[in-house]
Amino acid sequence: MDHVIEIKGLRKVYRDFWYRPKVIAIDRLDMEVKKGEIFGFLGPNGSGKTTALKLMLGLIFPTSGKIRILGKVPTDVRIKEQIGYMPEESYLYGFLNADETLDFYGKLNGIPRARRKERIEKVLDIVGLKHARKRRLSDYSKGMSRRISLAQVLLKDPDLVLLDEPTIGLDPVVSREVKDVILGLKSEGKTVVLSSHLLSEVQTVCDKIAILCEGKLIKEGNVDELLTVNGETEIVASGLKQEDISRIKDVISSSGGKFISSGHPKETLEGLFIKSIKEKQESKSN
Amino acid sequence: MRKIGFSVIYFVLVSVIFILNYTFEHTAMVSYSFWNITRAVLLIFAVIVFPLLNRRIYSIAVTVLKEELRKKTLYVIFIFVALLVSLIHVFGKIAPANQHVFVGEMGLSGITLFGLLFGVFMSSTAMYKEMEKKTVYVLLSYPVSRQEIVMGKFIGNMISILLFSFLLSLIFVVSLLVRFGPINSVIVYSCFALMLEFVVIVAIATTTSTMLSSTSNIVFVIIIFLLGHMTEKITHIASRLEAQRLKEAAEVFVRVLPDFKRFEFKDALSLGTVIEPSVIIASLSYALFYSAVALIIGMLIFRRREVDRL
Repeated sequence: MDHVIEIKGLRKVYRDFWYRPKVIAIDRLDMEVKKGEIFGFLGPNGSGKTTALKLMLGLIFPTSGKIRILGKVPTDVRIKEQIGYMPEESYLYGFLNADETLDFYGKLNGIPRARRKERIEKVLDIVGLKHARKRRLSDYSKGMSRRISLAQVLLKDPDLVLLDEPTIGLDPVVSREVKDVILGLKSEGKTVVLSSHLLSEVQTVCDKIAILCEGKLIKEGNVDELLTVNGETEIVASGLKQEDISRIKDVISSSGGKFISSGHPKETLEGLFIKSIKEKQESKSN
Repeated sequence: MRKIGFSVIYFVLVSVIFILNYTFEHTAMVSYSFWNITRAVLLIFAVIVFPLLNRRIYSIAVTVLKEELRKKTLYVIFIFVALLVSLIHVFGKIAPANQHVFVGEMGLSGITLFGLLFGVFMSSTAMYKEMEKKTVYVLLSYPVSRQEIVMGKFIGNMISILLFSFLLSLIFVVSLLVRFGPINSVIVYSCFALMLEFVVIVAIATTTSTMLSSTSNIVFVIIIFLLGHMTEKITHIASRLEAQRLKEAAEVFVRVLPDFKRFEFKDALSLGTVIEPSVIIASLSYALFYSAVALIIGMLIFRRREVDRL
């Protein structure tokens, strides 16, 4: 099976009490996601990203069109063992603690007791919640809630992971950790579909993107291809002097090209923040 | 199990019991007492044991039970009612001539109040709260069917209410034994019948919570509770109607309503008549069968419910 997700002519219309069309949330969406890809849904608020994920999970039903997830319809419960879903907020039971939460979802997924125990230890370690495993989720901070939500996804060891705004509301360090987990899933050959309106996040982790606006697909393709500015070449070099740069400019103009700019590349603010925090933590531990 | 689906087997089991019941009640193939007991056993298996054999339903039910057991307000209400029913004999002095009956009725009313409050408020929000808090989103991303979620919620809530009403009944009966010595068996039967009534309330509330908001559902279930206790009066009024169509409609309405009079033995308590165990067994079958039908409707509604539309 090459395509993990196949969507054809998908349409979702929300109706009012009198069954009159109220909102067209998704309008004739066609898309395919291949195995092992990290696919990003981009779009402003209310563009239909979350609705598309809900349709893929069978939480709501399409007005028309077809959806096949892992070769089956989304309402087929048999495929759910292989799907992990992290909603935009932690929609877990506040009266349970982390251990009980993971044990409950592990049981629902049919993971045998011994393996469940082993997996719970592993995922709590990955998300860094071992110290708070006996605390009720209602007492968790936003960051911790996102981590436990991610933990229930990892617990299943799913083939397909659906993430709705996975880093929204998180500080840059936790956000980076979540992105690392997503990249880790890719290296394990898992397929990841994430919806986000944080463009840098999508650019960092996604192979392919689809841009939605008012329920319509307005752009789709490979991230590298879409972002490549054709007709321009970027050279990054180190150890050059000012006269070397002048010589390069001469070479460019003698070759018929046009020199546009030169300067020192800048680190991202996210990178700087994480580096500073890590340095501080390391100096504290030393 | 996965290929056929829980709800299909559940529906078949309940239908088979219904057909057998219809056959045996209209023929003399087996004796009434034999079928009365067999029917109750079959219904206990179909409505309670069979769902609990499903590990997903069991897990959801256990989680619901944990949720209820961790609610502090529940314990406050429970302690208040427990004190009320254990000290109810103090009020017996108001009616010195008929202390047993008065105290019995008061205690049973206390348990009914607790069961109604607990059952209505707990179950009326069962499915709606899952949708409102969106916990159902994560639940449905697991290999659990919508029907299993409804059933898990019902079983969990049913066990919670049975547990607390059993404890209340025990406190009540023991306090009567301590105060008056041997007590009328009708009181014990009434306590059991009340527990059956709570099961029906939980089933109705769970079903309607798949489509109604929490507040509307609480009002709806309380109305059903009141009407269910007035079936005899409604039938009486219907019999006096002149318009045939209206009469028929009223009869259908009464048939659809849960007949809570089946779980009420106040007359037997005040008249001092004996209740046969077969009556209680028949009430058990009625409660389980009514609950099963209500839940099948709930499962059908929730099967196509868009969980993001409240």
